[in-house]
Amino acid sequence: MKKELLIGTALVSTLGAASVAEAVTATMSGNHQTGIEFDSPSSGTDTRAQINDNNFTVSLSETTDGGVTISSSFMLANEDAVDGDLDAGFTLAFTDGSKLDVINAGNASGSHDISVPGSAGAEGVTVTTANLAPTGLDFATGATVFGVEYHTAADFLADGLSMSFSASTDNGAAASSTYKNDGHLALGGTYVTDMGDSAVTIGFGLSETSGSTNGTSPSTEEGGMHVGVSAVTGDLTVALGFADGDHMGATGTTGSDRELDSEVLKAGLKYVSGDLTFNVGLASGTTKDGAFGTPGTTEDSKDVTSASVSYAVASGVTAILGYTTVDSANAGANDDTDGSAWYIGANMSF
Amino acid sequence: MVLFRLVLLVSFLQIIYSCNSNKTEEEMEELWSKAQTTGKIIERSGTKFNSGQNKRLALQDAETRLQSGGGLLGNDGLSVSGIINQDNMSKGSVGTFGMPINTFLWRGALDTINFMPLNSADPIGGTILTDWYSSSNNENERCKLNIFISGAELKTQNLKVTSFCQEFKNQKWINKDVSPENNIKLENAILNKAKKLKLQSS
Repeated sequence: MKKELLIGTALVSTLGAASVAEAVTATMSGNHQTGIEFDSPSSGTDTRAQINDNNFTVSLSETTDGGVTISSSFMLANEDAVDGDLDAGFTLAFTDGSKLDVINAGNASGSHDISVPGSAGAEGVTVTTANLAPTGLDFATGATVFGVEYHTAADFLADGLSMSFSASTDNGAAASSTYKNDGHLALGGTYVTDMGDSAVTIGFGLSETSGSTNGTSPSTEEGGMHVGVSAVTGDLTVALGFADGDHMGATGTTGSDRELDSEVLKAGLKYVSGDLTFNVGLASGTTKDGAFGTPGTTEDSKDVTSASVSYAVASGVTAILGYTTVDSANAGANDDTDGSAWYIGANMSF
Repeated sequence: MVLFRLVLLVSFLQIIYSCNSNKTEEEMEELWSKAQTTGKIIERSGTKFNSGQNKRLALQDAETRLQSGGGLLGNDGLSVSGIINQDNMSKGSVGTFGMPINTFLWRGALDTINFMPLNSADPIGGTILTDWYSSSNNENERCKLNIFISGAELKTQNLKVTSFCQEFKNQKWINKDVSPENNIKLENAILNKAKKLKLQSS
């Protein structure tokens, strides 16, 4: 080996094919969130409730002799009834830094939306279900039953750029009266650079879905874009994001039955001072919703203002004081189900 | 609409080619460590939650970990093998005080570079520093290695190899650049050796 180690100008020329040794690892990890929420609706009675969201996951990882890491995970418990138990597919992490998610793959557009600061608390204001205005940048969703998502390594094509591409399909069930995603294509990108003393991140994504119903078809298929920029200067982070697209929504619990044309604008800032983190965020979402085949003409809107102070108590533990206020309008008319909420609680990660 | 979006994307790609061209690898790493898209935040936090399945939860856990410096049980959670196989785990690490390091990585590193003269080897701190070494085939070049082993587990992240080379020109030793790929090849050789040692011991 020593003859081969220092031949020519290369320190190592023939140390064999890349091979990485790593035993199979099974890791248990989780998150426990608990706190108290104080709701103050614009009309009605103030209420308070305990908020819990406890999750426990087991992740498995194995690295082959060729250096490819294969990993997956499953959740043993999830108290969040909306999300249910979630089993991930597989992720293959390659030696060049790229990754491939297979089965239950995500949405490449949603992997690259800018993180816009807002309250870190678990408080929320539930407005009328008829108001379908979104407030997140990645409201264009994907069919997530069978899919692949490829994430390039950092500095893909140009220094500072990384991208993801995804394609997915549904489970093949027959179309029903509510909208069903049949297939989904998306791409997203993250670009980092600097501007003076600031580290600047630009995130963007495009998403297109094809879907079906056995009744009247929507006027447009689902599809959208988002773009955002964030600047980190010392302890201060400022971010701005915008999203625009067509998607489907549900006023009830039986599935998507409305077509929506939505826009979201978000802005926020975060400041870190020692163990304290301050967040302030604004989100303004609007949508025109109508029955399938009949585009909406009047706007639903949600204007969300939120702020929080969180304190890093110990490694894995943060205490949070959060506040959120929502101004809601449904179909152009004022909605008095909006209001404000306070939250005090803690997040624990292990 | 789709065409308009693609035109926007192509224009954006053209603009970014002109930036970052003069930055060093370290400067780019620093920028990536501050990337603010949700996917990058989740990725660097070490959370085990899958963002494809529950992004809200993954982001919440990621932000808690990033703000507080990790999890209650460390950055990587609780290893199942660490619970059910305590004896083997203890055999796999050395260093009864200070920072524990993986014994297979340590022995693998020493075996891999046993033809080079050692300057120092510290099993407590996990450092192996070689002296300058030249081969008879190329006496005008010499190299030395700094090897750092930083954890009790046998995994890639716990091993770092940095190499330095010089060329003899005009009666002087002149520093020369070493490709990062060569360091990775050395790390892989040590990891492969460590893996064989572990298999032999089991």
